[in-house]
Order: sequence, then C-alpha cells, then structure tokens
Amino acid sequence: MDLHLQYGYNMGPLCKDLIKKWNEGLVILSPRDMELDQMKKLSKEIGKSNGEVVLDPQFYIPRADHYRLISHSFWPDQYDSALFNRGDVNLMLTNLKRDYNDVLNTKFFILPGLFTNIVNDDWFNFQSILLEEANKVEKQKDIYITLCLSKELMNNESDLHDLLEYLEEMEYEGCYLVPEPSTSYLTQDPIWLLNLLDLTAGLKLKGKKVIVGYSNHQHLILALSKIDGIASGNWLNTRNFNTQKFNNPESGNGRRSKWYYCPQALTEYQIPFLDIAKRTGLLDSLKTDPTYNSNFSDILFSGAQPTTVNYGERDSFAHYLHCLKKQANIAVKNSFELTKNSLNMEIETAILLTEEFKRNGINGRDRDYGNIADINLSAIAAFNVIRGLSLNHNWNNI
Amino acid sequence: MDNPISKLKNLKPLPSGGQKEVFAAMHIDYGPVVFKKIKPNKDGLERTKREIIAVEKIKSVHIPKIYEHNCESSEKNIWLIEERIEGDNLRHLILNGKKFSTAEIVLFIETMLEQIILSEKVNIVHRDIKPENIILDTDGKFWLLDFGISRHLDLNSITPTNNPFGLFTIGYASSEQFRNFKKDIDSRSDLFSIGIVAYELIKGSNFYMQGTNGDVFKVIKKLETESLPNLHIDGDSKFQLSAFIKILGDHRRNRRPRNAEEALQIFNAVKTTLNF
Repeated sequence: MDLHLQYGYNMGPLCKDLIKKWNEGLVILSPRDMELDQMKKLSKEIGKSNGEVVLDPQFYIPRADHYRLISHSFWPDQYDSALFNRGDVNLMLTNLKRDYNDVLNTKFFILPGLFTNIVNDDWFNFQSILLEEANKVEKQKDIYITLCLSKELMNNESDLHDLLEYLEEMEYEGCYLVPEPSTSYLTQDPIWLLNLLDLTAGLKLKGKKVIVGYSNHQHLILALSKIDGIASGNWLNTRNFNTQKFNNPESGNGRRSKWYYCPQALTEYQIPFLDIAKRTGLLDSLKTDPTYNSNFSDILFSGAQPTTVNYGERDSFAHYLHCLKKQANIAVKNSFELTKNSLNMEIETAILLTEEFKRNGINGRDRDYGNIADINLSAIAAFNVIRGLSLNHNWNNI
Repeated sequence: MDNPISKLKNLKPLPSGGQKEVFAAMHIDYGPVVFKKIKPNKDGLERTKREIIAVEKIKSVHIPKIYEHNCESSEKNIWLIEERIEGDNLRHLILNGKKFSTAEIVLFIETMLEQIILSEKVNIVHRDIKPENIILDTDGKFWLLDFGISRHLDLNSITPTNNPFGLFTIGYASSEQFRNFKKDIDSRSDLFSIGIVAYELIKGSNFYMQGTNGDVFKVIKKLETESLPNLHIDGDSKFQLSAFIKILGDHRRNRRPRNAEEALQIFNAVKTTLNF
C-alpha cells in the first residue's frame, strides 16, 4: 500500500520536498486550490524528481458553484443539464483530457464523480454514461471512477452492497474512493470503518485498483483489504473529506496549531505536550525511530525545550506524511493473517504507549489514538469474520 | 419405445405432490429406479426438459441418472425413469434427530461444492439446494437431486422478468434469487444454500426459519438483514469451518466466494485446520 499526496492549500513546496526526498510518489492535484498554470508548473517539477501526478476533478458538489472550481475550463456552464446529457458529458471529459490530463501528463484519468447518498438506477445510469463517454475519450490511460459517498451511505451496509452489485456491471480499471467521515477527524464509528473495509475489499476482489482519498493514519488498517493507496495531505481537510471545503470557497483550514506525529503511538501531540514529556523524562519515548529516516522533527529532540525551537508547520506536515508513507509501505504483509496480526500488534503498542504518556500528562487530546484504538480493533475483528477467509485465499492475486 | 411400465416391477408409491406421481420400482434393465409420472402445467414441460438436460450435461456420480423419458414425444403425460438411491434424504434425517459428525459435514460441503463446480462449467444453477433434495446413501455418500427449477444461464428464463419473486424455497434461497434479480443469479446462489443446509445439519434447524413461526415475510426480512451465527463444531478449534459456512451463507452475495471453484479451494485450506 502506498501513500499519495492529497494536494491541499499551499502544499506545492511540501510536495516538491517530499517527492524529492522519496525520489518517487504520486500527487493528487486539486483544482480547488490551484490554477491550471500552477498545476503545470508543479507537475513539471514533480516529474523532475521522478514523481507523478493525477488530477482529481473535484466535481463533488457542482451546485455549490465554488468560484475557484468553476473557473476551470473543464467545468460545464450548466452543471444540471450537463450531468445527464451525453454530449455535454463528452465535452467535459474531452476538456479534462485535452487541457488537463494530457497537459499535466497524469498517470491515470480520474473521472468526475458526484457526492452521493443514494445509489439507485439513476446513479447507475449517470455513471454508465460517464464511463461510456470516458472510454471514447481516453483510450490509453487507465480510467478511475470517483466514488464520493456520504456518511449516511457509508453507514448503510445494504446500500454499499447494492453499490458493489452495480459496479460489477461496469468496466473500469480503478476506483478513487472519497468517503465522508461519520464523526470527527479520527472516526469513533466502528461500523463506518468496517463498511469502508468491506467496500474496498469488494472492489479489490473484483480486480480493481483502489485509492482512498482524504485519508489519515487511522486508514492504515485498509492494508487489510490490500488497497493500492491512501492519499493524505497537510491540513485536516485533506486528511478527512469535508463537504464544506467544496461548498464554501472561503472555508479555511481550521485552527493553526503545530502537531508532532508520534508514529509508534499513532498519535499527534501538540508541541506544549512535548515540553511536558521533556519535564517527565519521556521525550525520548516519543521520538520517531531512526528507521523512519524522518529528519523533519529532529529539532524537537535536540535537547532544547520543544516549544522554543524553530519547528514549523511545514516540518510538522512533512514529518506526518513521511512517517505515514513509511507505515503505509510496510503495512501489507505476505498474507491477510500476517497483515492482521501486524496491525493488531501496532495498535496494541499504541494503546500501551498512549496510556503511559497520558499517565504522565502527555495527552493527544482529540488526536489521541487511545481514544479510538478499540474502534479499530473492533473493525478489524469483524472484518476478519466477514472477509478474512476470502482475502487470505486471494491475497497474492489482488 | 416400449411401454415403460412393462419393464417396471414392484411399484411402490413415494411421497408425491403437485403435478407429479412418484414410485419406487425395480426395472428389468436398470435395477432400482424411481418412476415419475408428470402432468405438466404451462411451464412444466419446459422445466422437465431442462431438468433432463441439466443431469445429462453435468454428468456427475453424485446426481442420479435419468435412464429414460418421453419428453420429446409427449406434452401431456410425461414420465421419467431415474436411478434410485438407497438412503434417506437429509430432511428425514434431521427430523429423526440425526447428529451429523464433522466428517459428514466436511463430506457434505465437499460433495456439494464439487457438484456446483460441474454445474458452473455448463452454466447451470441448481437454485433448489435444500435438505429434501439431498440424499445420504447407505454407503455414506451424498447425492444431489431435483434440477427441476435449475436456471440455465445460456437459455432464456422461463420465469417472467417482471415477476417480483423468482422460483425458490423459502429459507434456503438467497435474496437475489427470491427477488428474481436474474442478472445477479449465478452459482453464488447455490453456495448460499449450501451454507444454510450445512448450518442446519450442525444445529438441527434452519437459522432463517428460527423465531419466525413460519411467517414468510419474517423469514425474508431475516434473510436480508441477518448473518449466520458462529458455530461450535467438533474439531474446529480455530473456527475456520464455522467462518467458511458463514461466508457461504452470507446474505451479501458479494462476500461469498466468487465461484464454486474458489469456494472449494478455500475449503481445502480450511480442512487442514480441522482435527476430527
């Protein structure tokens, strides 16, 4: 499983740094945050570092008329008629291919997809038109459909299985899945997580490539369905799909606060809590293991009081994404069983560490993995029951 | 052709119903046989023809042979002479309180999966796997009977597409089958029924019928909303056989094995975890 970079506001320099460090990587470009010229420039620079790009058309909520999105030439003038008119769909896809995907030299072609909380014959007909026209327009690159699913849909097992049945009739190579979270940044809802695992496993067992966008470290458990990648970015609205981002052009990026991601505890801590760790002699336990090869946070452990050092937002984001990539890359093991055991062990370790840190006043607050560890363990156990045997059997073929 | 009755001796009536009269008999050439007389309704002739085609195409040593029939020459009074299996059907055995051993459960699943693999190869879905249609013979071998409502995927369907319900036996048919979602019907529907029967052999009753007082609509609701519970099976200390029966009988088609071949491969791996 790989980590891709979900482009967020002002993330260009960060993408360049990380791709250069990794000497590879995939950036999912965001028309909501970039003009075409910016995308061209970034794509070229990413290419120089052996990286690749794809374009997420972000056609999630067209009725919102997000001014930055509608300024792009692929955006239809009349979204409501364009959605169901084959000619208009073709025009939109032709523009997307010619003026964006070809120019940006994207790795594969992501189709526009609507934010949906209902899957029925109308949804299927719309997707079918889109896919049929896409296959006429794009004959070389792999085509990824976008499934942007509401939290209501994500919580409804029956609807998700209807979706899988519909998808069985469609010909496409991959799926770019954008699930709306049911609760907060880190989900407290085991059913949501279980359904995400179940859905992605259903797609993988059909031989599709699967990328889950707007992800965070809680999604590392998607290694269990052996998906191809998760995508994450700098701000929370790139780590968690938020419809507000596409409804309200001025929606900001939340409170600006620097966090340090402790990968072994799967928890982010605000820097003042690292001061407490220093005071209680636990700072070394929070330090990222050298095997991660992340130098972005070294300064926090240089001996000075962490709040006094020059640890910037960009360092924080880079450290998070770098560690997450390492974790994603090693999450999938040689069998489903080994992957499950390894994830369980990782979570058990995080529980022990976060408890120990908490006892000493070091609190991850709403990003403390200790708050959600049981949710993840529960989803893993239930997933093992419903999909374990099939996945174990098919592990080397998916 | 000679009158078939002339070669039959010792005709004894067997439980019959609907359009069929069924007899056990001895045939001069074939030995023990079942003799069926059918007065088909509108679809009955075509269904009987398809049953014969299914048995001939599948060619299994676990499916009774059809020795003779007159389907091609008659439309009103049809007869069939079938191989008779000495044994008892699973419904009788369950009602008589038989406790199936783990070895018998394993053999049952294995035999049924092998039949579905053979059916898959000729594009046929049995669609009516239930205890009444399975015989355990006196040598301990399982037999699958009655392809009377089998679906031939490469022939036109007999059931009208706009029927809200397809042909099915309540409590054993998957939701895609009883809802008549024809495009969704494939061997995974049979895998579902095998899972339900396996559960019943272990527990002595059909999970989806339990607590419904036979109310068809309650059974349907349960079939579409509940999963088979975990089973405690002798020798299945790792609960792999239990998990396997659960995925066969999963009410979500997409979670069942993708075909019988795959199901058998998974089952072979499960068998290595059993100790009986």
